[in-house]
Amino acid sequence: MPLLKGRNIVEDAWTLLADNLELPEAGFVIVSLDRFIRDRDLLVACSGPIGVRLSSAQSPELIADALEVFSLIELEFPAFTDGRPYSYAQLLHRLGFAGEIRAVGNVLRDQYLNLKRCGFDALEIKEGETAEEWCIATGAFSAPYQVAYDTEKPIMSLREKRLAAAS
Amino acid sequence: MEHHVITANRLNDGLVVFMGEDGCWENSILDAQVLETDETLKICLASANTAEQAQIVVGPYEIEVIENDKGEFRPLRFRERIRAYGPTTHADFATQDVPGHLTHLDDVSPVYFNGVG
Amino acid sequence: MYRYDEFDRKFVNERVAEFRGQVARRMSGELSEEEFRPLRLMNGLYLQLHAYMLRVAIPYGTFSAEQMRKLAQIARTYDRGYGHFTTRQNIQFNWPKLEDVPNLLAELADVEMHAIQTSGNCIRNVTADPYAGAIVDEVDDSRIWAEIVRQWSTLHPEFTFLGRKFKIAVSASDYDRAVVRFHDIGLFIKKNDAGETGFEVWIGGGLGRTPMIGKISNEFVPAEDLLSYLEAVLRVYNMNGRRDNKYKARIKILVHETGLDELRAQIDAEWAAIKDSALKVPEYEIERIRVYFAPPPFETLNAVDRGFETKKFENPEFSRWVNGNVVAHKQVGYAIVNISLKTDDLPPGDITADQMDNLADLAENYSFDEIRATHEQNLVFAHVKQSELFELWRELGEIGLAMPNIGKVTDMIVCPGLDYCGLANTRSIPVAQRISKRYADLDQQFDLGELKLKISGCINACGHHHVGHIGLLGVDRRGEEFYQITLGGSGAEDAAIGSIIGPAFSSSDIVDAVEELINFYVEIRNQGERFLDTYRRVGAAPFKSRLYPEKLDAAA
Repeated sequence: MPLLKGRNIVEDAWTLLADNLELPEAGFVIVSLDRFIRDRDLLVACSGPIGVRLSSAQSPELIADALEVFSLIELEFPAFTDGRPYSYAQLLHRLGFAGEIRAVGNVLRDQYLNLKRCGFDALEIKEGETAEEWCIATGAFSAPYQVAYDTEKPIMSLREKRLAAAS
Repeated sequence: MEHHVITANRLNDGLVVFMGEDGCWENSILDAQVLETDETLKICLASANTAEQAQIVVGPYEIEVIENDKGEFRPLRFRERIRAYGPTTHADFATQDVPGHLTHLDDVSPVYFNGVG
Repeated sequence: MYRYDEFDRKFVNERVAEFRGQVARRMSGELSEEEFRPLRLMNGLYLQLHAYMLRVAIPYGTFSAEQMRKLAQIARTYDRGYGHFTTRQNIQFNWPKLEDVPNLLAELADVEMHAIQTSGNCIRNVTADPYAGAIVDEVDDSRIWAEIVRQWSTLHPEFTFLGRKFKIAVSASDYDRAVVRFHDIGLFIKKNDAGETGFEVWIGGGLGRTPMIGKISNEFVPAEDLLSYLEAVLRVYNMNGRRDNKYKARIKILVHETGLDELRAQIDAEWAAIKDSALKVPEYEIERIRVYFAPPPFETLNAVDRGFETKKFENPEFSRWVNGNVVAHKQVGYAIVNISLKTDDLPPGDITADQMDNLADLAENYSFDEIRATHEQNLVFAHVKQSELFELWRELGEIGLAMPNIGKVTDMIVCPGLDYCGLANTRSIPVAQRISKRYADLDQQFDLGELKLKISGCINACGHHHVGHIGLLGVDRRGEEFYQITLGGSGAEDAAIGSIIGPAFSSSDIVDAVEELINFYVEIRNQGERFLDTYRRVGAAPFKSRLYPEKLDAAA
């Protein structure tokens, strides 16, 4: 499936590894949380980069002691109305995760701004969808009301700036 | 089989509609196609779902109706009667003149029995 | 009151444009109903029994004459000439067409109004004490903080797809006029010993099918940490609240199942990690908002207005209205006026477009251009000169809005019920109208004193029946409307959840049953006791045996 990063569809070097398949030496595979728990030592020892996919019922707290193992964490939206992964992404950043956070599953393009603001780096979109369609949502609002993970200046600080300019 | 009609809300204005004889959606239950067999019910539900796919109506479903002595079909359940005839609180909002439908403030209970009113 | 600056204005216009696009995508079929539904709900648009219904936000219930006139115009253009005030200080309109809603929203935006987050599984429009800024017992104006919460919660990127709706209320008084303890988060503004402002935070309150009184999660959150604390509560809830069953998805269930101490520990841990961040509310922003809620230019008046006292003496009807609907103001010579929307003619909370226009004029003339909506589905003019009360009363009477029944048996909270609502099991409004008719005698109402009767047409409890002194819940019994009675509830500072008294009554018997309970109260009450006080003193058993005498006979 196409991978949207920022405003562009990009090449995806990663593949999702079924739990019964062997771990390739080169890495670039995404494993389930079950697989990680089962084969933790093996995965830690793998020379290539490893990713993990968490379902919306699996909090990143479950892998809080192993974040450095992963270059990629996929957070799955089983339905676009299940908003848990937004908080998980914020939590991952707070826990110091420095790799890539991806949204997979069922997301509406109206939610792209939410994803970006909560610190998702990339998103799987459906075949046939274009980056342009998805990026409409990110331009919907010129400034948000609240601070989030992104660097967008909230309205409050724009007001402060205006105040400072006036005085 | 009991008698049924198919109802939904129209997508654009949200109003209650009933599937008519020609598959068109009518505002009045008096214009609804009354279905008497499982087979016609199945066919009409399928066509109602097509209408939903085509952005004409939202959430079609069948309701049971019964015939009164004037030969008119009325919904069996009071929820569907209120849907068909409008809120019972505003005379202006009634979609049909149905005896006993409107609430009167005469302190007499406006009991809404299932059955033909 | 708060006015938009260029940022607020731009934001709301951008939201209208976004929703316009969503409606277009729905009409073209790009969005299915299943996809569109959550999007329209978080912009206040329902598809109800007969038609669409749009709920418009009145943040913390405060609005202006200009806004009221716009609501009147919307009632005429898009509804059928009515507006309906809700229990969360909002107003809703029936019958708008989907294709018209974007234009309707654009018209609202012209007067700094919107429908953002009046429904959906997000942080709902924040409510507050309707007497804020006017009542003597408050420690601060709760609307300042409600506005800060409103802005923070508006299209919050993380908390827009929660497990369930999330309601926040703010009060600054020991008296609870906003059912604060029955909110997902209830905030009571307090001053600590050092004179600093902070919040006593209650979490996990709610009505619905599992009513619960909130519990205190923190006794004093310093004002500047309010948003980080709210964010911590919401994050813990969003991550851990149940998603498997919509009836167990509110934070009240999480509090109940996790235990208050454990949940508090989780919240505190999250809070500690984010407290010292950009979430701190800057002083300049608090002050910027505070200015909007500065007291209006009150005149210096005498505590006693001779003309007013004379009119009260001369005119018993006026005197009764003052007695029933007028509350003392913190400013000498002024008064708080409640305007009852429980009149003879219309469903509780309903108002006609003409009445709205008239009230707008009256608000300009008598109350510094400001109107409040209350959770009891009434309106308030917060700042009226005592010397002008008589004129105001007379003018209210001309438009049918001088009913002196505030807090009385006919001042019921009533959900729209099956006359409008797609979820309801039974109707509510006709029952309320029959009770109003039964108790039309105002002398009798005054004799009964404060009696909070609340009616819900289904278990979702929009009519707050759990917190009625007498609560009625509509249930469907084999296709017939029945009503179950609960007694002893209260949504005020003496918060309590009512108990079911016995088997439900048919629609034909329910009004008689209510009357029987009230007659019994009159027979056994002590001097000065309200219905609720008597019930609390004697307990449920005597009321029960009065209501179900045959049961007693059978047992004997």
